[in-house]
Amino acid sequence: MAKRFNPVVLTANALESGAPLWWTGAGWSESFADARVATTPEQAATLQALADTPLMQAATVGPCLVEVVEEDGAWRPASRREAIRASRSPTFAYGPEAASRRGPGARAA
Amino acid sequence: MYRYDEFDAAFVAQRAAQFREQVRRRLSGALTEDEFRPLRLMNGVYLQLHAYMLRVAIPYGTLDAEQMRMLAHVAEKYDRGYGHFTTRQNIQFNWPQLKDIPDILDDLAGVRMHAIQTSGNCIRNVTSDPLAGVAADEIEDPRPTAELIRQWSSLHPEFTFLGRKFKIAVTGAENDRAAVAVHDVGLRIVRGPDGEIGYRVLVGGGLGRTPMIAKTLREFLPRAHLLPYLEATLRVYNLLGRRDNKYKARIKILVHEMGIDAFRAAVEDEFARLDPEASAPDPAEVARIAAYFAPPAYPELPDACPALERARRAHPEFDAWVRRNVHPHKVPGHAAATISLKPIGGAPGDATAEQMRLMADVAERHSMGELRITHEQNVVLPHLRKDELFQVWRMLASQGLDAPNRGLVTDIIACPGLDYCALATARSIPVAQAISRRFADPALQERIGPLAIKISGCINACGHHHVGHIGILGLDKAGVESYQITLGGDPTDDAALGERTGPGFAFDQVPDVVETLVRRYLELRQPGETFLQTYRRLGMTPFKEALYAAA
Repeated sequence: MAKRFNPVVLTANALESGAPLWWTGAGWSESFADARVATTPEQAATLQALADTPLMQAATVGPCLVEVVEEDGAWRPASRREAIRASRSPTFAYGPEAASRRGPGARAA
Repeated sequence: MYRYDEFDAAFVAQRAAQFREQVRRRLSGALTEDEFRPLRLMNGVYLQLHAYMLRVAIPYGTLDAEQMRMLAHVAEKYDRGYGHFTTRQNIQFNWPQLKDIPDILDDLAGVRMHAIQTSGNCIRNVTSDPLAGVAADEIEDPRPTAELIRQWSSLHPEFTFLGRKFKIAVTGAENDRAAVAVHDVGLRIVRGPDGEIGYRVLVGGGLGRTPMIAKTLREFLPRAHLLPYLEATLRVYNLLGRRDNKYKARIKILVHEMGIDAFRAAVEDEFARLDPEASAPDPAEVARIAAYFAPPAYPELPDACPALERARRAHPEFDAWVRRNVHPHKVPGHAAATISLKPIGGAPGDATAEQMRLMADVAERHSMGELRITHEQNVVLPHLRKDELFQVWRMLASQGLDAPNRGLVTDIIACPGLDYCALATARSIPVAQAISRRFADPALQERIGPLAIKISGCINACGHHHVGHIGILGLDKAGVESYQITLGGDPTDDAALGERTGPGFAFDQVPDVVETLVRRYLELRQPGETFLQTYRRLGMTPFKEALYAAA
């Protein structure tokens, strides 16, 4: 049986910063909310062809399609991995901010 | 500590300059990512979920205050104000921009640091005992051996394109604190039949998707034969190891498939063909390296320290820290201490730039300027006076570096996991944080006693879960994180791989699972027995029953 088609977006990492990017239809955005969603296999094939172009391969790192799902009228990444990428941050406070929240003294919660 | 000579400095500067040009060509579009990837990996640069990651080598985990300050500078100037100390005694920066990495490498080269041998299919940064040179149970300082291997391996033309990465660990103590049995080659410094010092050579250990405990390749290898024997071992691996499948390309698979006897015979044949005297390092060079690791000029002190005892009686929290984090030292009146990078609810191994500077200050003022990184993602101050321990503790406490939990349930090893890593299948740091909060009470931690929890976010096992007393492996089951539990793992002298309890658990269940296991242990233990000892006495059954009885 043919695999059911799921809507997809085109994503990559920025060459200079490594930050996640999403294709808007007109260019790259650092916001997942701007992503152009391919809702048909034909649209997905167009995005894949774009990802495969030498220019796209040279200008970004690892352009590829990832699945999205619709929830409450908005698109979101289908996998946790992509959701974490789309959030542009680990799922916890990190670095100096996390340390200052804990404050001096590591003994207590 | 080892100081670079002109050759070392020129080599590191040359590599940084080469990489600057490679980055320039990549950013200009002259190199594709496929062409650039192996070049960046040779310089410790990975691409993760949110950004590039730079892994900086800390050879055998030893660094000085100036180098620690440079790491703080890199964190602050080029990253987001922190770094992550790893299970291979290195540090990773999670947010550098590719265009900045050549500048970072130049800055690091200024203090004799680099990212060479932190990635790729080469002989990786050699790891060692964080208490090297100071441990009371030491036969010989393993760092001269580790440094010798570093110099031998960095530019060895035969071994720069191995079938897979190759990790070597060295310990010189009776108690193995370097996990040598889970390395491609593990070296234990031992005394031979006539009392002379040499090596027991282990081979074929490793974690990852096919975990194995190393087997003994040579019971006793004379010191002078080390490099020729390693050369023979690497050559056999390089010639016979698989290259058709990266998951079967480590030396452990070769040793397993050949059998240790056949592998040993092949190595000994190759070794017999070599002229050990001709390929052994110049004794003068070995002596030159060893001289850099000569003990510092310790003041003569009585071993008993009334000031320390008074401070311990007056400050119970300090007393708890001394009990857990302070180690015996071979020199009277001195001690080594672990700075725990595992505050309650923190990300294991993370340190801010401010904390790094403080650790550098403490090292400079109290530890003869020296620090060590441990494979348990902590930091060690190796040369402390007992009568200054209270001041050290006070300084550390000012930056939240005083957790008295070394070796306890909250001293958790965790890989970066799905929050950073492109290979991960599940989160690991938030699991560690949740367990840490569950067991936050220091009195409870002490009552539980030694308990090593190790968490990996995928089967590559960077969090060493196979050798955790409680190991936790995060997987993806049809889009949902699922955590497998293993029990009874141990990376030390009686090295063992953990045994799986059964079906996995959901993300939110893991703290309950650990608590259930700990409660069962507390019910079952005999006086003085650790979790691992109880598990070894009783086996899996009572723990499995506790976990799955209600299901």
